[in-house]
Amino acid sequence: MRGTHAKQVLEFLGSQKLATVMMTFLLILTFLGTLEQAEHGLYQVQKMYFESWGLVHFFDLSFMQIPLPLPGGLLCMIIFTLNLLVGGILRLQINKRNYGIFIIHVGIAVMMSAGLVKLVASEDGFLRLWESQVSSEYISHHEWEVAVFETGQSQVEEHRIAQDRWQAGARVIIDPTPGLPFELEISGALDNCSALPIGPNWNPSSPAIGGWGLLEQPRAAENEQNLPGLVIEMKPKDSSDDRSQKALLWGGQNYPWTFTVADRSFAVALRKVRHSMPFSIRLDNFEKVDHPGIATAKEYRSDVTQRTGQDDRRVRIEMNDPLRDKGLILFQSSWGPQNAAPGDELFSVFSVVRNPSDHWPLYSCIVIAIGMLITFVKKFLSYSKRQAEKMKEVAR
Amino acid sequence: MKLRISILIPLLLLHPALACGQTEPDVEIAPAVDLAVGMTSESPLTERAPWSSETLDAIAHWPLQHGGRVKPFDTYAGFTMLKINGKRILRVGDEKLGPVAWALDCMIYPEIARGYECIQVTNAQVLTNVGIDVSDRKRSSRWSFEELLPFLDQIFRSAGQITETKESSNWELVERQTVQLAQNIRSLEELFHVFDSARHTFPLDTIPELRAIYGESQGRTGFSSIIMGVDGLEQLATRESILQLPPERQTEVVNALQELQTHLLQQIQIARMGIAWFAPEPPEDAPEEGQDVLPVVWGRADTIVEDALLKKPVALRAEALQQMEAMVAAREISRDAFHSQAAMVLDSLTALASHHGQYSTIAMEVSFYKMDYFYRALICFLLAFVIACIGWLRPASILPTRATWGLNLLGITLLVTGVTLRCIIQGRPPVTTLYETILFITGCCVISALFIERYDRRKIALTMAALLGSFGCFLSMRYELKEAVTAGDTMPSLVAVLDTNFWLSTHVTSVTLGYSAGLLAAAIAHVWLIGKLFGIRKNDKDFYRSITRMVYGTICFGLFFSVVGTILGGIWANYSWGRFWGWDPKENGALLICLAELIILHARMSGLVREHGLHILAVINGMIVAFSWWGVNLLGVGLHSYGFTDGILRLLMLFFSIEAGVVLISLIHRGFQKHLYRRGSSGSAAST
Repeated sequence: MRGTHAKQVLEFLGSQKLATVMMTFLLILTFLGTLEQAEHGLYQVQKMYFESWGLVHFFDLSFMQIPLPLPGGLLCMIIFTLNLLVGGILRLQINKRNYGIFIIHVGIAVMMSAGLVKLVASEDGFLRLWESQVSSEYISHHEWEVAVFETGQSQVEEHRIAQDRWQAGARVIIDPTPGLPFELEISGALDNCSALPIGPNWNPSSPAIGGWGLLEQPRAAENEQNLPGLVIEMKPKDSSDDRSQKALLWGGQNYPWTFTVADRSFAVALRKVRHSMPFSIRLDNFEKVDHPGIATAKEYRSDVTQRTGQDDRRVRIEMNDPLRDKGLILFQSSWGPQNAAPGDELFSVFSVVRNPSDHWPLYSCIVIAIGMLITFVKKFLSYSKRQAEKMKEVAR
Repeated sequence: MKLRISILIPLLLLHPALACGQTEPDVEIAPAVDLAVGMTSESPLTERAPWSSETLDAIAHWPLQHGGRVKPFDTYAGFTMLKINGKRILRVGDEKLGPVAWALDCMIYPEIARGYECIQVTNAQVLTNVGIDVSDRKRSSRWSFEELLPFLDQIFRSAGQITETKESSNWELVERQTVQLAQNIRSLEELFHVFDSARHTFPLDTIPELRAIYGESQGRTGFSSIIMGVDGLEQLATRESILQLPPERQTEVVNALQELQTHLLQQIQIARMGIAWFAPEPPEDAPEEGQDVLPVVWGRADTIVEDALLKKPVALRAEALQQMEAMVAAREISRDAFHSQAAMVLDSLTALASHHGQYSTIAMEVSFYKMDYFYRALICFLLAFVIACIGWLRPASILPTRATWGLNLLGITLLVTGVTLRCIIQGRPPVTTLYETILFITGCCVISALFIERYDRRKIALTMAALLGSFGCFLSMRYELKEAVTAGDTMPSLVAVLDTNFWLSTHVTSVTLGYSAGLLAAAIAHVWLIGKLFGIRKNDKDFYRSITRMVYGTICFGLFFSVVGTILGGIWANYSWGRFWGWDPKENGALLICLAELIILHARMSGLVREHGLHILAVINGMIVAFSWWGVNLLGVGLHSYGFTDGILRLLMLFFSIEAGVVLISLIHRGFQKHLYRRGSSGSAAST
């Protein structure tokens, strides 16, 4: 009896009907998510429609909103992948008629795994360099952190507090970090805000410090434009002389908050997360070449020196030709300043990605193409054979 | 310190663009220059002798650099005319002017061309807003520059206000058209002034010292006359030379040089808005191996003067300029003299371009536009469709089928030839812009339909080939007009990331093949749905089964290319930007097609849908293809916003409405039929 139920569950899980339903949900989600991007931007839509377990989409009519509950993209993709593994690979009885379909399903499974590995294990960010500048770390596109370090030291040791510990406005006391003579209390974190001086017409809802406050702003459609802010309080751990100090930290400020405690100076900054690279990059030369007579870039390229320990390697990074080494990939992605006049010095911007499944999509593409070719060519040959016979009959 | 440096060089430095290299002028909404300048004719001409075809042919082949690439004058004139006039032909009296003749008139006889009614204004409100009375004009009539002249200030002021106060994405239709009108007038003005410097008389005989350099002849015109005596001018303009003159002469010489400087400055300013005809002088040294080769930047007439003043080599360019100026002067002599000068200019410009290897495709491009392959293909497909319809009325006759085959094959040959020539001219794969997707998808639809017909022979796919070929060619011609307005060309220079032939020829080609298969399947599915709706060949089950097989097979074909193309796109993105999938609208569009086609196949295999459902889903898939092809570009977000789709929305909504109507009516009809069938069954059961 139990075996029958398990079989039924497996049958259902591997059925073509379930595949059809899941793909229909994915189609609806993709369609609605694409339309929503015009209003809410890519990042928000990606989180809400494609990386969620469930959501409610609102059809906005002029006189009312109609809600439509939907399974999220993540849930659909998990069920779809299970369906693919069960129905398309494990339970498929391979014979000479359907081995092409089996190959296709294996290819799709490889591609889905590539997506999963990317989602779980990849990091990405950017690296901006002026000519002659060197860097061995890149900056995250979306993630923020509070970084604490002691100033005036030859070796800077940073203590980092990741965004998920302080975001969503909760009051958080960061555990005393070994070696630091204070603890930090973070409160009133805002996802997107402006730092403004307090005036007669404006009083912030969050605490005002030094005549300044944080004004909450609606989330921008492009996540890179959101500038978080928070209130931070330094509480000395063991000092009768030192008193607590408070400050506002805002993502748009270019300098850290500094304070002295136990005769040591510290700085705290709210900034995008920095990732270390196993090598450093020095920009030797950046060149942007326009099409003649117009302001459209024909190509832009960076000549860099990659320094790994003792070795220096000169590499050219350009569009469609990145630098790949030690699990990292550096792509030529942009340049600036965008309003630079001809002859002005330009900086080069690289996208930096760590993706263990970097080449998997290519392998999956080859596998899927082979499977499809086998399946459809066989179908076509049998169709053309039938048609030829039919024509012969008509001719007779 | 030489006076040449103290007077003439500062003259150049007044204009930073000269020091910073050339860029084509941005769209500025202001009158170009004083229109009185350059209109030197004392008694304005009202007519001119017709141009000979040899002259037009020679000038059509003149190379120039525009929009980042080297192209023939024929292409430049064609798109300028299309942008301003809305079509490539203008009737003036009894004469029909093509693009080169029209542009030549504008350049050589501006006083006559100002009266040509060649400015299209599609919305009368644009004109009434600036106070022009349109009551006695037809909607389709064009306006002459002369007619709009009294209102130019208002037109440019309105356009300027719009561009300054609003983002272009927020412009209302009438605002967009106002800006468009201002830009068109500006383009026309630029043509009127192309040869101003050639007509301009420089004051080279005002003092004995200048006469000693340039001779006694009166009325020397054009930059080349200045270039000819540039060494003598340099000698005269040195501080030492001036100081050596008797004191009473010094002031007169300086004044004469300053007057010359004023004239030169004015003409350089005008020439800077002209056409970049002149490739640089041949390079002295070949580039070293491994050295980056920079793009060759062509110059206008002003750059030759500036280079001559800066002692750079100008010999070949100066000769070409001198011939060009002689050609302009020859309008007063004879058509033969004009032609021989035009031919000499062609030789000189060709030689200059050839030194940089940039003339090889000019003749091919001229012949490409002359042949008008896509228009001829449209005629063939239209005829094929009409004959195919006649064939349906006379099923026993074999002649219409053969004629339809012949015309379809001729049409597709023309289309493929045109696309191939475009590939050779541009040196890149067939699909790089939205315009090119139309041509490629049309070609693929027609070839696929003919391929299906080869096996099926029921004339369904044959008729579809003609219908889709006609529609595609018509759409390409309409969209060409949009490209003329926005890009001034259908072969624009590509942004850096697209400049890769490998990915363009694999990913883009595969995805567009997928589009074409999806559209073809949807088109054939209509035959099934409409046939069932109207009860055509009601009892011929084989006919309907055959259509189903066609649709199913085409969807399989489309799925292959859609899936492979979409994954290849992801791989390209991964290798260019470091991410395989970014949920960009265009990527999502491709995914939608893959999902829709996978749903169709799985739903059919699992028995969720039968024949009717398959065709309904195929039509919906066609709508998804249209959304992916055009619709996502309307969202204005993402990395793939390469297509100008303004004004497409209405057409797209019309398409969606019609298709939704087809689906809905078909579903209602199907439901009604089922209801009748059930009633019939229960009635017969009751009577039994």
